[in-house]
Amino acid sequence: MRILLIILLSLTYLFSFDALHVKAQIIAKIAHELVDKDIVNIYTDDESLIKTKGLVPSLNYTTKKNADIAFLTHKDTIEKTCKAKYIFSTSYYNYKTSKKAIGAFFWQKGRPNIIIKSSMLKKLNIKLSQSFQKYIE
Amino acid sequence: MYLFFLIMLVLFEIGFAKDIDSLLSELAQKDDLSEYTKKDTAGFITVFKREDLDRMKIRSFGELIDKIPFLRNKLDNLGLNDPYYQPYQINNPARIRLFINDRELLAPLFGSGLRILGQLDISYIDHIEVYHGIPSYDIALEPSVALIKAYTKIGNRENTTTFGASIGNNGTYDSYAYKSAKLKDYSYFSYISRRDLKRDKVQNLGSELSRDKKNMHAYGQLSNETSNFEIQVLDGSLDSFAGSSWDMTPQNSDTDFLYLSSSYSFISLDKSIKATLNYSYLTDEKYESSTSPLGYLPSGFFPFYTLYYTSRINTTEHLFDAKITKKYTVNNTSFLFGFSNRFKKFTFNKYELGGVDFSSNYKYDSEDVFSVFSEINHQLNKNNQIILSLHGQKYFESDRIDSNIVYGARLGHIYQKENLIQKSFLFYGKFHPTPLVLLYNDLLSNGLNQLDSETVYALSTQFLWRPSPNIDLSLLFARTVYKDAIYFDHSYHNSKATNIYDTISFESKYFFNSQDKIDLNIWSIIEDNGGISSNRYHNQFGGSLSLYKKFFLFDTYNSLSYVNGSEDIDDGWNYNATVSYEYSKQLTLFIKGKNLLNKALKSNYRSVNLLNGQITKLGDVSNIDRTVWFGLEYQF
Repeated sequence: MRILLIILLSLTYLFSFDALHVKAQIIAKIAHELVDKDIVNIYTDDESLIKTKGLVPSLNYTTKKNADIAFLTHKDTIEKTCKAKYIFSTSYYNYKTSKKAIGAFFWQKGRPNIIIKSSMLKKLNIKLSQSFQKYIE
Repeated sequence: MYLFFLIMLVLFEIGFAKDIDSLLSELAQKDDLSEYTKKDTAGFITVFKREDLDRMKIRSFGELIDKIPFLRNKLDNLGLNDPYYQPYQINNPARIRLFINDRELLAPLFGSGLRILGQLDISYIDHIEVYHGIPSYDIALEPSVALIKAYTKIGNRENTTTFGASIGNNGTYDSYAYKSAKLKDYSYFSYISRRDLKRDKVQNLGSELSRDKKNMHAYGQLSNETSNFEIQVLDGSLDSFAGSSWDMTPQNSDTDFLYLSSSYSFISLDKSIKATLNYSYLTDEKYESSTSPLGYLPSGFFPFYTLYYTSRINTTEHLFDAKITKKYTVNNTSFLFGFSNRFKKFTFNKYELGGVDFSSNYKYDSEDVFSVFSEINHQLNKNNQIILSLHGQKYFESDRIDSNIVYGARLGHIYQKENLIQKSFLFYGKFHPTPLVLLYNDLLSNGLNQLDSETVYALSTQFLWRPSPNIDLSLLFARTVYKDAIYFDHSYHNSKATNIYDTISFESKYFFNSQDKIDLNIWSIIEDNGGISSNRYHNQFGGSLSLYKKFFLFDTYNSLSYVNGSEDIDDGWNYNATVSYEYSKQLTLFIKGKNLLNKALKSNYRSVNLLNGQITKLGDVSNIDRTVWFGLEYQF
């Protein structure tokens, strides 16, 4: 058993996540921070995020009507068609101009960034963990 | 099966156990823009990612030269960046070419982009790729020894309005601002900067030599999924340091210049068609007056010459560039076909020596280069890839310069298995002389001496090995053989000797975690110039060691670079350090020291009295001043 554990730990050290896996983990972190479920239903229309499907076991990729949380890039989907309770925009411009998006996951100053609207947190009565506090604006 | 699931579960949990900050930092590294722009099959690449540049607080291309294997951070007699500077040898753009996105910065008379932009602010640059040796024709069609490809920041990765400013000793200051965003269907990036660069003065025979530079610089970009439009304007003036007088004693020596460039590029949605159109314009006026003569002019009475002490040279240069490529993919093979036309027009509006205008003597004023090229990339199996590139170019020269046709070929093999990659390339090509060499050769020989193209053969191989996810190792060997190399010795010649350059480099990176790392590079060039004297071999070697480390809100960078000296120049040791402090999410403060040991590589300059052959030497001039900068960056 000890040998097995050593092998497993060595393998985890050697395992390198590529950008897509890291994106999947970030989405999962956000989803589990907001949705209190073991398996979270998510929807995305962002091409770079669609490819993360199947990479994280605790995320179930579903339709925009059945999703708990959505990561959206198109303005129309954010404002009109998506029924998810929590909407994250992947466009800073759409986030800034939306009343429905709770937060955004986007690039700013060449780095991936997360921001979450404090007014939406209050409205939805959500308290975030310590590690997410710095992203609230 | 049980074991497999257990492994997957542990792997996932390990990933999930990382906090959100670490994951975002990891994504910044792994999804860097360079992952989308670099072309691994094009050659041997060193990448300076956005995070690297941000942490180093690199503020000009010139500063980066210390970190590029095989290059020496040297300034020419006008105080401009030229890693290969030798007194009386013309700046050769064929050695180092500088591209911004897919647009080459080049002025046929002024020289390479490194001379134009070398010491200007580069806050608008996202990342930089350096291709060592001779890269694929898809990257550059005209010859190069090293190619610096800089990519600008882009709107959909910036989404910010940012202002930055810094001050340094000697009264240097600069400031910049940029605004960018991704809107509904397009994104934009706009940037403006002003730099007043003051350098240490150098005293020579009673004259004060200055390398100060001032400029205003603006850049704008508008892009969507398929099109990209860019415009760049640079208006500057520089003190021309040692100038061209016989004793290097300028009284008033400065250059004013204006550079404009605009380009349009298109890429089809399936990425199979790429097209670029580029137009660049440069006008500059160099004025020099000196206490020692700048030269002599023939006269009709004893002593049959007249010395002159002033010169005023005004030039205008145009570069039109068009390139189109089409790629077809059939099973495991891709075929790339391309066509390019580059038209260079250069005019001496004024060439006044001692008040007499000689501009009408300069009849050679244009070069038109047509190129066709193709690249076949065949994936033999899972591990092996073969690349064959062919190209032909016709150089149409104006006036009495001979036109020329040159051909080249490149065969590559890439082996990739798990964490090991081996790249090997065999190259043959002809390098046509640059317009400036052709121009002066024509004048000096009165049109009688026509230069041949240089012939180049190169064989190179590189091993890239990742023994674990946090260690990258690279080992590169190359042998380059030059025949008919062009050199200057009172006039231009094709060398009868064969010059052989053996180059070796070793690079390693060790990542402590997603933020901290240490980089090491060591390189060597052994040159055999084919002569029979004791001066036949020249060895150059150098390296650099850099540590990037974060402590709480402090981000530190320390780097020590070394290059060997020569008979009359000491070895160069350049120690740079930067500490950045993130005061808030909006405001970052930094302090940066350059050449803190004051032992960076120095240069010697020589000038010749054309009447008696007496040589004036100006020695031990530091290429980099010991400088401390304080700066801030505020994000609105």
